[in-house]
Amino acid sequence: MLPLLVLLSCLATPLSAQSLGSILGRVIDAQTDAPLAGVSVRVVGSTRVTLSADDGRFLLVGVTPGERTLRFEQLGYTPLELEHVMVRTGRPTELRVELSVAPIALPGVEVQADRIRLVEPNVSTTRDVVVARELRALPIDRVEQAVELTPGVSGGHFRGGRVGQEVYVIDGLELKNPLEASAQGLGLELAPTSLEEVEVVTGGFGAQYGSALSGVVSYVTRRGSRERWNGSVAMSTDAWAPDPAFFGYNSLSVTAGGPLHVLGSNTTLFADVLAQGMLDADPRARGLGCLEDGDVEAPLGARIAQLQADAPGLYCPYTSDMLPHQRGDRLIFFTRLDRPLTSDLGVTVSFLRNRLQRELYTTEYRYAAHQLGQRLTGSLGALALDWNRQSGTRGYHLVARGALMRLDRHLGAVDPWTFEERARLGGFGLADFRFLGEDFVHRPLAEQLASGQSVPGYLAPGGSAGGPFGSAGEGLFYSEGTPHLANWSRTDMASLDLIGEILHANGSSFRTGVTARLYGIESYERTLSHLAGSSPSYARFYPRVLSAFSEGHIGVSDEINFDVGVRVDGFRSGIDFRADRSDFLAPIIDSKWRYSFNPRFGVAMPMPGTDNTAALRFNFGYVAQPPDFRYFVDSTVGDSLRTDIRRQGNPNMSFERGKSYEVSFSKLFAERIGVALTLFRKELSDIVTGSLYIGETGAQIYSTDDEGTVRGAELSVRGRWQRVGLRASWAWQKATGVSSGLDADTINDVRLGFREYPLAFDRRHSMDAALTYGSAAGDPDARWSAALTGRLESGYPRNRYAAVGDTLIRGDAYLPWTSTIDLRVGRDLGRLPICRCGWRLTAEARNVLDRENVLGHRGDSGMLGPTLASVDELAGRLPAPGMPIPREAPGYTARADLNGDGVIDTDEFHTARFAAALDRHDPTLFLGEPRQLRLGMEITF
Amino acid sequence: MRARTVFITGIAAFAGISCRDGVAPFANDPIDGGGEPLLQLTFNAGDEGDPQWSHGGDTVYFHSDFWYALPGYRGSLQQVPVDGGIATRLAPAAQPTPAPKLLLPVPAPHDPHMAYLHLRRERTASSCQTFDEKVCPLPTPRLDTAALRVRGLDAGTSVFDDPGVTVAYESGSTSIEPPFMERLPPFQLDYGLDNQISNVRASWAPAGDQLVYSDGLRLLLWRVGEPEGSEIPNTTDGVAPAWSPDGQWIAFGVLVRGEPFSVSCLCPSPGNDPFVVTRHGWELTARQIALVRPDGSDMVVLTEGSEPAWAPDGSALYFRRGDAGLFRIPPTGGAETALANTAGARAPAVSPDGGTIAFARRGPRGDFNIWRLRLQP
Repeated sequence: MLPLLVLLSCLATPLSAQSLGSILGRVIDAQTDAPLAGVSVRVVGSTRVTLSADDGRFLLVGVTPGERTLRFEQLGYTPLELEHVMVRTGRPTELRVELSVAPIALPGVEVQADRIRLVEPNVSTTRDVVVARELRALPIDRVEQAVELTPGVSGGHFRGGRVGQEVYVIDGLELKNPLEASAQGLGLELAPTSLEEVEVVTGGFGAQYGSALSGVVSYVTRRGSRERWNGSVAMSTDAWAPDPAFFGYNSLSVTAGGPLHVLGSNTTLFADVLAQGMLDADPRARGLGCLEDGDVEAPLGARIAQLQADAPGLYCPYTSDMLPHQRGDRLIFFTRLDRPLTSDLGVTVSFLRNRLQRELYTTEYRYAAHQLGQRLTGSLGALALDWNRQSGTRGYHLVARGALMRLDRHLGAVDPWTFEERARLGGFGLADFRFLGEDFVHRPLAEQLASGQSVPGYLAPGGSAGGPFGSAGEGLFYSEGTPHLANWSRTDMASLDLIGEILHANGSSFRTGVTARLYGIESYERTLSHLAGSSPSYARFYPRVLSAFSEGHIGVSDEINFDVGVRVDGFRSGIDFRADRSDFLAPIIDSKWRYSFNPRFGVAMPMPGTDNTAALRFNFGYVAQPPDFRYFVDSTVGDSLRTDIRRQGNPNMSFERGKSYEVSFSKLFAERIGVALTLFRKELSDIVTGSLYIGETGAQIYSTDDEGTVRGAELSVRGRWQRVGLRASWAWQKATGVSSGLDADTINDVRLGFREYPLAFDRRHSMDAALTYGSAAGDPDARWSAALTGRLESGYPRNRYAAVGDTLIRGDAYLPWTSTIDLRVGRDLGRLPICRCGWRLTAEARNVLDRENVLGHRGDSGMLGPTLASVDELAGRLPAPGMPIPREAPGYTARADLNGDGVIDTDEFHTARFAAALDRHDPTLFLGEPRQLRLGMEITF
Repeated sequence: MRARTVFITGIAAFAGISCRDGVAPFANDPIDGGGEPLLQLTFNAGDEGDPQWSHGGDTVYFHSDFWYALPGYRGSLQQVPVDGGIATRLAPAAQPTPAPKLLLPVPAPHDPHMAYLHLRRERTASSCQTFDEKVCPLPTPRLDTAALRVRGLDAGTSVFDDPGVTVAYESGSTSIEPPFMERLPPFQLDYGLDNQISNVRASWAPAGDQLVYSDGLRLLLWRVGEPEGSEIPNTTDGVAPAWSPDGQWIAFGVLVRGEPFSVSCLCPSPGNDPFVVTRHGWELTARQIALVRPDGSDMVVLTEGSEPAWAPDGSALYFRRGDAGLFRIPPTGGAETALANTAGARAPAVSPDGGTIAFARRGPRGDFNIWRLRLQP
């Protein structure tokens, strides 16, 4: 630990890891279409400049990614400034520029906005970009919420794929949480204010990207300005809001960047800190929800009505609008330093530190002092050397990156110190959460076993005193003891990338690279930690991942663009296991190297006769990713993040594989509105899939299945006017899988054999829209800024069997539709008299319409509430005590003493027991976010 | 200027409201009767009785013959907060499983000790009938042998390690062969018919070095640690003693006997033929409160009543008069004052500050519970 931290600290001191982008294109005479030579092409605000060649082509390499403005100048022609040109890493931005002959001398500058990038005749992939301006204006807390605006991305699922079937790229560095991406995502996140842009690729991603079946999310971080220091301080809170909209959200963001001449000219530094404190880290629509009439079947509804009449104090006794035991905070720190070493070579060093910690609400501990909690910490240090050289119409680009990453996760019973003594402001604590027995569970396994101890601090869960149901809540709610789970994991990664690229101004390029990732994984879990005899489950192994790729982009006759690439991936789990797992005496063997060969092909072309306003593209490719390494080991987890996962360990699993096909047509209307229609098909094999099943036992059951297919269509619209921006999309998809039945419970389930079922994340329809106004839409003169986002989605399958007509599950096969509307409005208030800075106020509302949004149903009833039989069965597990419970008994509660005679008799006990069983079925975790209202202030300098 | 004001106000507002507190873990409705002048402290289905006060006056000690959470216990020592709340076992180390039958906890005046009665032998009550098949008017004399013991409240040792003095209660023949003969002096009748155990309670001397107690027939003094107690003269049929705060007097009850009588009853014997038992009892003509010096001198009958308890300043005696409730009388005699809302109360005990009185009373379900009453100043 210490050496790695020291190394990371050293890396943090000087640099950042980001590739630069490039721009190429052709300049022609607007009247004659003749190529123009010698046109000066300059990136405004930088030193990058070039001249077009005889054929009008130009190439600019080493351009900082983001929204740039290009200036084109030629004697005799009206100078042109082209705004909103998107420069990205990994692929050159291609332009076609027309200059008009100047009728008189010294004409003014013509200003144009770059065309809506939805229509890119030279690009064969499906991609979407959210730029820094939008990231700061949209009503989002996390970058992931911006990614959700991409067509086909919904709930963290890319085109029907499981979470974890996507890969993240930070400044060109491909990253994944290899151990548990399907449960925890990347494990690292960046603040929206630290990003220059986010690019989401959902189809036809190039050979450069691996470890993904469904999507690539590429982050480009901001760098400090070379001219002057600037930055912002932003605060946001909902503390002023009335109770129903108060969730204890407080946020502070500090961003600054500028020149750092002490380390050399043109050296820049950028830093960003985001601190958020939350009293309810995962707000739900009904808070601690009550079952209501429409949530249950009639017989249970009648019993609830009777309970409300007879014992109002026992029905839904917790009435706060906020979930208890969901406190948490988030800290994200990012910094990067860029320093040119020579005119062609630059070095970037970056450091990212995350800490996300929160309690995980669990129903049975609702009335208890202890709760489960989780702390995720992650560190990433990266060093990149970026060499660019331009020689006429050729450009050369070489990148070497090294990175170290550490992800730590601890899940267990939260030490009361965390909330009783830890200093906090606005819910944010500087110190880490503490967990009971944390030191103990990190000791060597042999030492833990030799001690024969339970995990220190853990106590047997039990008791019922203090809850609203008293003794009648026995076994349903715990008022004593602690959650029994102690679980932690650590993932270390060291990686090295080498990528070389040759570009030509005619649009052709060739790129090749190799990547090596070395991992060290530790995974620990102990259940029943309060028992001295409970044994931990522990694994330590060293997976390795190697990959190489080559891809070329070829333009033919300025019209047809081909992308051809091939990628070879290999991984080895690095875990030892017995050759025959049923035989304890079987020899121990090491896992094998697994390989995957993935050719990829794409073609894009403008539609003839449309002046590049219409384009067609097609791509096809093989994709593959190693399964989550957690599938190599066995474990179970249960909490409010719904990571209740039962794993089936298999240390010799192979790649999850897929084939994808995509065809797309895009058209630009009136230079303002772009429309694209994309049809895709994705065939998956050897997939480790999940079935979303929220019930009393096992929320998600993952298993290895055989194959699946996702097919769908996406319609996207982009519009841009002077003060208004629009993006909207509709995605339809159908994701089905075929099971061999290996995942089925062969004892209780006779439905063996191959059968088709919907993949867990088969959301058929999803519609997104984002409307921006004023400065949010790129109008530099506007003082108002507004961003309205809306989402309308159909539900996921309730479970795989329900959707194929199995009678074991009642209710609809799919969950109901959900919708949300979010809004963020800002108003610039000019310059502050007390400093040379500007300031603005912001107001933000989430789920403006306060939709309840049902996200889950119970398996037994197909509704939010259980069946009457389920409640009665649960209530009946505890018989009434032999004699009345007197008021002086710990298990007495006045709520259950309905006649107020000082004792809870048998009838009263049964009433209270029924109420407790009903309360145990609270639907809180089946609902979406409630309405939230925030106010904020931002100071810019 | 205006912008600056708005800005500074905004910053201050953000800083202030961001500290708004969140949701607290669920808190159940409080069970607190602190404001009630008359409060029922226990609702247990068994009989609770003979309350006593802790030194600080914040807790009431009592015994229960059948405690809801201790189904195997036939006599346990408990304590409950004076304003109501959760009752807990008193001296739990003295009450293991299976538990000895412990009764009548009496805290020592100065140190954290208590005296209690360890009922070592108790006869099983049998449902005997007269020869004309009516219920036998005299019950089984159940009290047999006990030990008056003293222990520290936090002691972890066994009851049998506590210093004690044996108390043998008159109950008649213990023969295993017929003819069977049983004697039922008034204290045995009280216990057999009404579970009234207060008659054999003990009381500490103010110095805390000795106790006065009753074997049902007389009062005795026991200096803690000595093997036997010594009889106090002139205390025939003296029961329920209470030592005055100044140590000069012992108040006690007198069960005034009338004419003796005998009843022969037929009692069942499981697996065998019923057997005949002849029971000898006495008419109880009166219950009186009397005072006597610890040496047995100056004995004087004060009034009609039973189960006397001293006010902590010695200015008054509280006592029970049948089911009429509790009364107060100066120890020198004089006017009696009835305490309102105490009908059916028994075994009064006055708090150390003199402001509250605890007692036992039968509830609507027929069992005895502990109550407390704030006394009017």
